[in-house]
Order: sequence, then C-alpha cells, then structure tokens
Amino acid sequence: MKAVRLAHRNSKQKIVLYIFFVIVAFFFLFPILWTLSLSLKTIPELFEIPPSILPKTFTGIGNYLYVISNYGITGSLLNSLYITLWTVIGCLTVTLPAAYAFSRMKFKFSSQIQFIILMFQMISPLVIVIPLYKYYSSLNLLNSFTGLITIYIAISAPFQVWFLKGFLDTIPKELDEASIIDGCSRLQTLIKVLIPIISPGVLSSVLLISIMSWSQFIVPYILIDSPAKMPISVRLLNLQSSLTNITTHYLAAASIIAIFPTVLLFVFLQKYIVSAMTAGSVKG
Amino acid sequence: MLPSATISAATRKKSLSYGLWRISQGPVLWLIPLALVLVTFFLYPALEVVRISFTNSDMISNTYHYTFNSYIRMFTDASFYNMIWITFFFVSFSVIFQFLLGFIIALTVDKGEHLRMKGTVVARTVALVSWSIPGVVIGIIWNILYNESPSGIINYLISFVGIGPVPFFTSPVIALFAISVANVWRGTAQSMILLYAGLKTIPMDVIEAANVDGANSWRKLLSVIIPSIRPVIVINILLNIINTFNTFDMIMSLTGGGPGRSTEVLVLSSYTTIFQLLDLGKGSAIAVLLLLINVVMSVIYIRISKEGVST
Amino acid sequence: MKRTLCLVFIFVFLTSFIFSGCGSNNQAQTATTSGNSSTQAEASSTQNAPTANTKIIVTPQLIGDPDAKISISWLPKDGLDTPNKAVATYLADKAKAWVEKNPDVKIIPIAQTVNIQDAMAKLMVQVAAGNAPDVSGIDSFLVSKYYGYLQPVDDILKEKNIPLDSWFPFAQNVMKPKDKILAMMFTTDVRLFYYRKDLIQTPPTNWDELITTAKQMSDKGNVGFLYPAGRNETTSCDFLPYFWSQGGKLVDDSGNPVFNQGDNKTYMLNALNFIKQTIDEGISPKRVSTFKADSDMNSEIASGKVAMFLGGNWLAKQVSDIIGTQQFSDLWAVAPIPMKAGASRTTTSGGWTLGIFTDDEQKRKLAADFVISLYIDDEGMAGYCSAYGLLPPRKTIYDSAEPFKTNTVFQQCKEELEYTTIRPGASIYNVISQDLQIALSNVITGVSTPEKALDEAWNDVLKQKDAQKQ
Repeated sequence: MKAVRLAHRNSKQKIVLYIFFVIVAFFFLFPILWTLSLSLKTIPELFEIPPSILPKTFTGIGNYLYVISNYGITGSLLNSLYITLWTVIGCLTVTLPAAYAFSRMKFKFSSQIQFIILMFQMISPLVIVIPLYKYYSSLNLLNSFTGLITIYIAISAPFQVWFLKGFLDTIPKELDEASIIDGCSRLQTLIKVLIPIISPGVLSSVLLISIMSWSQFIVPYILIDSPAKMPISVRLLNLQSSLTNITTHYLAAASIIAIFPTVLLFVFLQKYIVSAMTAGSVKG
Repeated sequence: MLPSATISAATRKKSLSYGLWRISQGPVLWLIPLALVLVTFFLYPALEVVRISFTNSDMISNTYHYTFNSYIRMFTDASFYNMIWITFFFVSFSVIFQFLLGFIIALTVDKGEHLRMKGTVVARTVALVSWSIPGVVIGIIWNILYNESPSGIINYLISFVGIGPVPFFTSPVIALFAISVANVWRGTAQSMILLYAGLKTIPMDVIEAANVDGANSWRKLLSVIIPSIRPVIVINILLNIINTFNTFDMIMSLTGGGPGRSTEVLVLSSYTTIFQLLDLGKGSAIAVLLLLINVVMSVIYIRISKEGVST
Repeated sequence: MKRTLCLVFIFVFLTSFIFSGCGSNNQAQTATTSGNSSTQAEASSTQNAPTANTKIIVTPQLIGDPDAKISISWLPKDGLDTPNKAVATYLADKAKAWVEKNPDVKIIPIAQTVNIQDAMAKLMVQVAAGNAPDVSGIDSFLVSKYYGYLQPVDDILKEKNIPLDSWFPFAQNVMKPKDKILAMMFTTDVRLFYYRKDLIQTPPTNWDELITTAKQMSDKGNVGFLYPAGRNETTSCDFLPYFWSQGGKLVDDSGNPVFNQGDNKTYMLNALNFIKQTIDEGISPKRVSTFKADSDMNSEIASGKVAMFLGGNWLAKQVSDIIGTQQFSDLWAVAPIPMKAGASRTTTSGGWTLGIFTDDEQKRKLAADFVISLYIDDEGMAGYCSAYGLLPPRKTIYDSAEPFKTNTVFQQCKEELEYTTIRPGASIYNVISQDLQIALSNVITGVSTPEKALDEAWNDVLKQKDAQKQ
C-alpha cells in the first residue's frame, strides 16, 4: 500500500515539477528565442506590425555570414576566450590560498582584512577606469591583453575570496586535521582534499569569473585601442543601430554567436558538476 | 612524512624547511598573492577615485582645485533622494526575487534529479543561458522586447489575454518594475547555480538522516537544508547586493535612466556624470557615496546574519 | 574529471579556431564586395602572391606596409569594419590609394564605438594623459573642448586650394574659433520635418496649423506627429529649433547660461508648452519619450500609420531601406519645421570634424593629407557623404558633385543649411542638453509642469556652472 501511495505521490510531484520546468524554460528562453528570430530577419521584417516570431524567408542566414566574415566577430570571440581563460587561472591561483587562510586560520585582524577586501568589490570598475588609464599608461599596460587580464583579476578577486571562503566554511575542520595527521602539508590538504570537495563551488567560481570578464565593456574599451584586440562585448555593442544605420539584425546574429561557446561550456561543465557531486558527497 | 621526520634532517635544511613550515602555518604566505594583485593594480586607481571626488576635476583639463563642491552638488541635486529610493527598490527587488526564484529552481532541479526525471539538465541549462549574455546586450534585448510601438512583442503577446498595451517606458513606476524584472531574469542564474552547488555539498548522510526521521518536505527544508548551506546563502545574498548596487550596463542600454530620471540608479548616475556630463569630480563623489552605502549595508547585513549563527 | 574538462576546453578552442580561420582570412578583405576587381586583387595579395605594391595591407587595424617607418594613429568616426557596407568599401579603397602613394607611411586606426559619448570620453582621457591619437574624428559640438590641443591646418588647406569659404558659414565658425583653422568639418546633417504628401495637401507652417492638421490625421486613425524625446543628444537637436527660432539663446557670448532669463524664459516655456500640447491633444503618444534614436520611430513610420515626423535627414535613407525608395518618394515630402507663428525658420545641424593632435611637423602634414583625401577635398567629401547619406558641409559640393547636384532631398537640405543653427560651443552645453532632455521627458510623462521642469533644469545647470568656475 505504502509503495503505491509513494509512487502516486511521486508522479503527482513529477507533473507539478514538469509544469514548473516548462514555465521556467519559457521565461528564460523567450528573450533568447526572440533574439534568434531577429537574427534571421531582414531589415523590413524587423519592423513588421504585428510582430511574428518566424521570419518569412530564411535569407537572414546571411546576417550570420556577414557578422562572421566581414565583421570578424569570431576573432573577438577568441580574444574573449583567451582573456577569460587567463583571468580564471590567475584569479583562482590568487584567491584559493587566501580563502583557505581566512577559513582555516585564526589570526589577528582577520575579519577586518576580509572586510577591506570586500570593500574593493564595492567600487565599480567603471569608475576606476579613468584614473586606471593614466596609471596603466605609465606602467605600459595599455592596449595589451596582459593589462586587461591583470585588472580583471583584481576586479573579480575580492568577490571570489569571500565566495570560496563560504564554501570552505561548510567543510568541518576535522577533515583538515585528519589529513595533516596523515602527513599532508597544508598546501597538500588544500589541493588534494578540500578543493575536490568544494569542486562545485570552484566550478561556480569559474563560471562567475568568466561571466564577469565576458561582460566588461567600458574597461576594455578604454584600455584597448586596436580593433584586433577588442573582446567580444565591445564588438557586439558596435553592432547597435546608430543614428544613421539599422543593424539590429546583425546585433542579434552576433549575440547568438557570442552565447554559443558559453552555452557549450555550461552543458559540458554540468556533467562535471554532477560527477563531482557524487564523489564529494560520499566523502562527507 | 611526519613533521618529526622533517625536523630530524640535516641542520641547514632543517632550519630552512622548518622556517618555511612555520611561515606557512600563518596566513602571510597565503595572502601575499592576493595582496600583491590588489595593491599593484587596484589600490592606486581606487584611491585616485576618492581623491578626485574631493576636486572639481573634469575630464580634460589638468588643473583643478580641491573642494567639497562635488559632494555638495551631489547632495543638493534635485533628484538625489529619488535616486536613492530607486536604487534601494531596484536592489531589494532584484536580490529578493533572484534568491527566491534561484532557490526554487535549484530545489526543484535537485528534486527532479532524485526522482530521476528527464529534462532536468535542460531546465538547469536553460536557467543558466541568460547569464552568458553580457549585461549591456541583455538591456538591448529587453529594450526591444518592451518596445511600446505596435511592433513590440511583449505588448503584442499580452494583448491576447486582454491586457492593454503596458507603458513600460513611459510610466516612471512601471519602468522601474520593468528594469527590475529584467534584472531578475539576468541574475537568477547566478543565485541558482550557487544554491544548487551548495545543495550538492550537503553530505548524503545528513539528508538520509532527515528522511529516516520522517520529516515532511517543508520541515526538512527549514531545519535541515537551509542551515546546512547557510554560509553559502549568506554569502550569496551579500555578494548579490553589492553586485546589484554596481549594475549599470543593463539599465543604461535598457532605459538610459529614463523616463526623466525614474530609473537612474546611483551607479548609472555616476556613469552619465562622468561620460556624458564629463564631470569627473561629481561622478567620483557619487562612486564614493556608493561605496559608503555598500559598506554600511554590508556591516548591517553581516551583524544580522551573525545573530542566528551557532558555529 | 580533469580530462573531461581539458577535452571540453580543447573542443571549444578548436571550434573557435575553425571559425576564426574563416573569419581572419576574410578580415583582410573587410571592405570587399563582389564585383570590385581592385579590392579582389588586393585581397589575394594579403594571402600569398605579391602585387606591385608588395606588402601593403588594408585591414581595420592597419593600413599600409607593416614595415613602413612612419606610423600615424587615427581615431576615425567609422572604422573599416563598420557595418555600413558602402562606407566600409569607400574608406578601404580611398585609404589604400593613399598609402600606395605614400608607401613609407602606415596608418593605425583606433577602435571606435557606436556610442558617441563613450568615444568622446575616451578621446578626452587620452588627450588629458598625453596619449592623443595623431588625427581624430571629433563630434562637432565637442570640438571646443580641444581647441587648446589641436594643431592649425590653415597652411595645408591653402596648399590644396580648399578655401575656408567653401564651407557653410556655420561650419566656418566651428572650424576657425579665433584666427586659426583647428578642425575640418567633413559631415553635417539637418533636422527635417517630414509629412505624408498623399494625406496632407499643404504642410503646416506653424504650431497651430500643425496641431490642426495632426488632429485631422488622428481622426482618420493615424499617429499625428512623432519626434524623438528620449534621453539622447538627438532629442536636444530636434527640440532646440523651437527655441532658437523665436530668438532664444542658450548661453551668452561668454558661455554663461541664459536660457531661463528674460525673453529666453518665455521662449523656452513656449517650446515646452508646445510639446505638452502635442501630448495633451493626443496627436503625439507618450512613447515619444522612449525614442532615444530617431530610428526608433522607423517601425511605426514604415507601417504607414504616421502622418508627420521630425527627425534627421538620414531617416530618408533608413525608411527607404525598409519600404523601398519608390514608395518613400511617393509618400513622403519635406518642409521647413513648423514654428510658433511669426518665428523665423531654422533647424539644427550637427556633424563631425577632423582634428590633428600630433605636433610632429612631418606627421601633421601627412595626417592632414590623408584625411583630406578621404573626407575633405571635392572628391573625398562627395564620395564619403554620398556613401553615408550624410550632408557635405561645403557649399560647393552641392553644385559640383552627384548625387547632391540633382537629388531633391539633398537640395532641400542644402536650403535648410542656410537657415541652420549649431549648438553653442560653450563648455556648459552638454549639461544644458542633458537637463533639457530630462525636462522634456518629465513634461511628456506628466511628472512636471513645464515651469517646474524648466526651473529644475535651470538650477542644475547653474550649480554645474558654479562648479566649473571654482
């Protein structure tokens, strides 16, 4: 009897969940579907009344060709990937040890220092970009990926320190002690024991850092001069319709291209999160 | 190797590695990379912003005076209190709903996985996609969606359920809701992934213990799940608050601060002051004010969340 | 686990490499359109076979021989990668021709952005830090901020037989503030009043007639009158003619704001009340305050339901792109902007100028020579402006070059240019402009009365002006 009731309850739950998933999917997907629709339209179709989600013809594929070959959107995609990769590596290298120290060690001024670090997070990059220009000019870091990567690391580090510390705090200190008794140094403990357990958190961190660096557009615009080095966010913006030119369809096509690698990344990383889960929870 | 084994090695080696070991027990070595990065690249420009806020500098002339005038002008700006209210509304609405929606989605996806439902991966991915688009592009897309002319798609769709065309951008009140909803769309993914990751780090035995106890879902949620991922929730909300205070790219492309100044949050005002009015002094003053507000809010928040803490 | 991650990254990078492989090969052919044989030859030269000019390449980030000794940095109004294909082709062809004549010079374009404010802010930061580009496009209403940094070009223009008088008087004022020519204006524009000639027999000549006509139109189910009123500089350009035509002045000769004093106050209130009237009488919808660019009006205009609108002269081309050139000329005509009865005729002109920052004498001459060939001399200005659909600021072009000589819209624009006003070069102008945009928005959405909105704008401008003085 109990089994049947359980099964019944389960299928009711499943139906509710499915409905919820559909609503959620619609809410999040609709703007993107609309962008996709815009990317396949020609200029007259952009302004149709009433609006329709399906383009009339599929000549809009030409928009993608234009954006890739004439506008060179893929070059800027590569730039963004390169910058993001090094920002992630640099940021994690710098913040994981710091998060460990704040989580595991009790020392004087610990909470004050943490708060000061948080204060850096409260300063918007857009404001520091003006003095940053002069400063980087004197450091000869203008118009270079290195300059951009360093400032991105500096911008995302405060957030990540607090964030990763939060995850580390969920792991009981007994685990550390066990591994030190086993003969590991603190560093080894961090790398071999703790990080794998909080790997979902580290992964989320990777995603957060990537998104942050992907979205910046004021900072790279001010610091970089050469069109070949511009990341994709800036190049996307340039496809906005200007006073004298209608380019919404190109902007839509470029946006879809820009989302493509990140969606790919998400899809693959998810499987990693899941497999990391089962490994991590067994240890707990 | 046991620590004692290290210590019993050759004398010189012993003091060096012992010295290193001692230092690595303390926080200094661990914090140096972070400190280096922040001090070298962030500190000087940040201090410059504070310094400039006490001048009347504009973008181009290299001569300026030190004065409180930038602050005075900021506080006596006719829309100043309005901007503060708008900022607080925007931040509160965004953070609360991003958290709620993100949490619900994380829970349901987690539950769906337990029930081995198909399509949970899709649901997860879908919620995340909105995150991968740069904020400024999200503003452009939602601007197109909210368009009030006859070719605007949202108004067109809701006309099917009989609601008249909604003045998304010509009503100051509705515009504020409009940007908040767009921001929830943008930010829920972040909350969701963090809370989902947090849910996944709850040890299985804790969950099983709760299941065995026969607790119903609601009680399980309140007394088991939430406390276990409490640090993650707290951090998530705090960081979300700070980030939302600094969100301007989406609003800039969505409404530009209009109609009038009814969607001009503080950080957007800083941007327009610097980049459009070319007034560096006042723009920096607004940034410093924003910093102070963030500091105060964070302190209050941390105090409140500490009060319920057992560990 | 780590392996899967590595595989993921490798996969993503590979796919992007494949894409970018296609992309970068074509980037060298940026401006190539089919059927242009010279650019096709140039394109293949970037890949392998040497041409007569060996190593000259033409890309959005470098024009010329990469080993050339002299390099000139250039911040263009539109780069070679602009989505406007006609302009991209034009610039690439002209630039290539110039570097072929000057093989020891290479031009390095700096990335531009469609967001003019960001671009001009960046230029300012660069100039203030001593990193100004050698030659730059500068929006005409901001040129005054750079007068202290720009190099004179009188001698070069004289050498090339391009007299200052060939420009319209308003352009001359922008280019030569005191005794030296510091900037060269290469495009301009006007705001036009467009009306449906199939629905309206005689266009209205003043505000009252406009309201009456528009009401008749809206009775028939059309939108009477559209204009951009969002937070953007273009709104000010469309609004200020109403003020100027009555004799209003925004600032006095020393650059101090005067728009809320004396008669100016009356004129300004008249203009604001007119706008309020368009909303109250129902001939303009409140959503005009959401139009940040006048191209935002395009969808409604194209739908055929709009009777009259106010906007830039470029809208003619944009709307034609949507509904077809023939249909556009069948339906739409242009007339002087209706003003308060008895006021004079005027419109606003903006435009762009070119300025030389480098103080190196050789570079100055070369940079000037380069931009003159692209934008300023008879061939250059006619070529660029016709590719873009913008107006030449040199009178003589309208008499000498196609399509300006024969196209009716261009000739009408030429007429408007005789009556046009430009925005004052005072440093307080952009504050005034911002505050007026906010005031307009508040009046339209009903948040403030015109009096209150004007007072708020005035107070904010005064505060800012005081700060500048200190």
